[in-house]
Amino acid sequence: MTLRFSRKQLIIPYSLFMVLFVVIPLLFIVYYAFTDGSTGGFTFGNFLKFFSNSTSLSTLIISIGIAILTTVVCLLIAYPIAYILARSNFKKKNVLLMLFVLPMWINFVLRINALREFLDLIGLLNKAHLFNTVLGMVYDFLPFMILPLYTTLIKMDKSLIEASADLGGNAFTTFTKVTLPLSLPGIVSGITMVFMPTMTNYVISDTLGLGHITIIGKLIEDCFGSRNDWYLGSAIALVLLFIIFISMLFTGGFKDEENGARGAGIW
Amino acid sequence: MKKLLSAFLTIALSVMLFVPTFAYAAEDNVLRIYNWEDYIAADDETGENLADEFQTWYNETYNANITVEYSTFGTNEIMYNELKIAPGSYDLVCPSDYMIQKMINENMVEEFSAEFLDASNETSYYSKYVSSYIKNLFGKYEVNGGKSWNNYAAAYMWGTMGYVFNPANVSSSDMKSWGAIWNIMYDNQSTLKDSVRDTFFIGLAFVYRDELNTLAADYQNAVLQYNNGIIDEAQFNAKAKQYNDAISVILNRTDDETLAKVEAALNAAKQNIFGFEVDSGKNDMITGKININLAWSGDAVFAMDQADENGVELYYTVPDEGSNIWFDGWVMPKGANTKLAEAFINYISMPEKACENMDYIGYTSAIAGDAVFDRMVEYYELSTEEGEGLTAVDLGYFFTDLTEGRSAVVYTDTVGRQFSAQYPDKDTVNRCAIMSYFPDDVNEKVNLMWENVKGTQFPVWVIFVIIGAIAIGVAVYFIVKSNKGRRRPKKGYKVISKG
Repeated sequence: MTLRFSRKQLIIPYSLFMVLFVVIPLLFIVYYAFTDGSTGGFTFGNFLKFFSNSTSLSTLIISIGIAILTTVVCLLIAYPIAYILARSNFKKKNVLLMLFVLPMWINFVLRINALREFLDLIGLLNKAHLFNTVLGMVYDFLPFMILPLYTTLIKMDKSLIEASADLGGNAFTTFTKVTLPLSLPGIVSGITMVFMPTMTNYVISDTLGLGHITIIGKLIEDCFGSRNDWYLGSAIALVLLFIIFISMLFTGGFKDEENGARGAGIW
Repeated sequence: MKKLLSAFLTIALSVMLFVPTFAYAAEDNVLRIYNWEDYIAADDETGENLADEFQTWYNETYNANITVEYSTFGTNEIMYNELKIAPGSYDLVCPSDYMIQKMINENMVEEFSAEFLDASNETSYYSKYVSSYIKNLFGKYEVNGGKSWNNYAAAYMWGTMGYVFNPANVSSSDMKSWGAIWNIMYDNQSTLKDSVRDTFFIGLAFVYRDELNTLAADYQNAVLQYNNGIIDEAQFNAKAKQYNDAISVILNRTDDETLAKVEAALNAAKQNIFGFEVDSGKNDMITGKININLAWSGDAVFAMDQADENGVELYYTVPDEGSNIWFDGWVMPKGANTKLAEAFINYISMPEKACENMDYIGYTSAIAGDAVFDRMVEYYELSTEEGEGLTAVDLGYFFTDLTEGRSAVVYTDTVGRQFSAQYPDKDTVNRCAIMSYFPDDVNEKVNLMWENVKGTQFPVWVIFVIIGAIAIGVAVYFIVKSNKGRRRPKKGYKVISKG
């Protein structure tokens, strides 16, 4: 007997997963964010509490700042490496690539604590909290930037570069007019993979910033933990969600241009 | 698919609406215990803990057929929320002092039976063996007219808060004041707890150190007078109680002025300390990153043990200004199976079980009595007789019910080490106060204060400028994008040149 699944049936496992672990929790967050803790009624008060607290807003700004810094540094390090790896004819480049991904297989708390000891060894640990935090974030999220960049670049049609050379483009023009626009999808997915987690990964800021750096993820954790204010915590989580939404709009915009570039710009 | 999804959504929404109404009922032959993680003696090989043992023991002793369901929590708040969302889901829980107080005030706990409280009853092991010190401490807090914490809570483990320090690198006499953390001599060498209640307490003690020191000096005077026979024991005890009551008031201040002062003090401390930690402090002491670590006495014992293995000798001290005395205790939530819950408390309060627990957990049990005393003397290799180079430590305040004629004075040459952390002397506990829970409005203020201490506060105009810049940036991006879209030529046409 052969088992036959229709497309509808195949979609069931994931939709179950999605409803249980994505949709329902999200509904809970929305419910809590708009609920008054003491009366149980509907309120915007939790958002008001967040936006009227200058420390909370500063924390949000610092988180965005750290996230931007981390993303930029990751991009600056990852792009050349991904480019060189994808371009080179080096036979063992898969081994090299694996070396970049290898750290991901080791528990990240372990790696961050190792980095903490290293920073102590070179005497930086208690002197540069912000630097250490960004360093830890870059260390942790770099593979997430390299991988999408590498896959986009390796898939790129090499003949396009030859064509550019044929048409008189020098190396720099070829890069800015051909390679870079074509790798935009990789850049965008790299940015989304790095930017958002960086804003909430408070284990790194706590371990390497020694509790001197508070990011928005820590604030949410505090609300659900010692502060026991799930309402405010949910509201902050929704604010973060809104920020993701905004950045998704940017991402969508990039995709448009990329499609345009592939469809009309080149042919 | 859409139908399926909307069905799911409907179910999800309806589940959400009914969440706060889940309720569980106690069953006659089931005991549901909710305790801290790693907070009960367990057999390393079989994994069986005292709760499992209790089940076997109870069934054999009473020829019954009960089941014990044992689960653990990580924070008081998790436990509290669970009981709020699903009342009656546990028969016995083990929160900390302030949470017990909050639960009693919110009428969430059952009262102990008269039988349980009657120390003359053969099986009332808790009432029989709990230290009078704990009983008196609980008795101070009156609730519901004439009743006290003793009617609602049975202490499990207790201890103090203080500094663990490395005498090789810091002066021991400086550690006699909470001020060590603010001392620029120890810049970058100390840690505070990343926990609002603990660190707030230190801030309080620092802000009101002058008042506390004056009271402490008065008390020291009384100690001298007592030692020289000028006042008798009753007079001295009255003095000690008066002193403890006075510092309890100071160390529980939460008015706005106090909060502002503590915030300023903690902000200053933040500039001087190495960092805030939850559990990295022990290791950082051993590796020498820090030399002063704010710690609970139980953790301090553990840290000193660990350090000893690494060849580092650490000490523990409770600063002179006064400190916090903490405890975790058993309470029975409303609707609990009180009969089994009380039987379990009595079971683990048998002195030999208390010793097992202490050996395993490393904290100090609230149970006194000969067995516990003997175990302490044996474990810490204490002497019960005077000797050269030995310091006398009077634990009479805690071991109040030793067999007739036995003295609770022990002699040791390791004052300030594990033993002192586990069993503080009388003067130390006299300067320790319980920190009450904060009512909701105060809690909110304290949390905001803590957020300010932990976070960075930009001036308001900076925030406006940055948020404005981001908003303008986003707006410009979308305007440009939409304009671009409008100017895009039709399919099949090309813009040849601009201008």
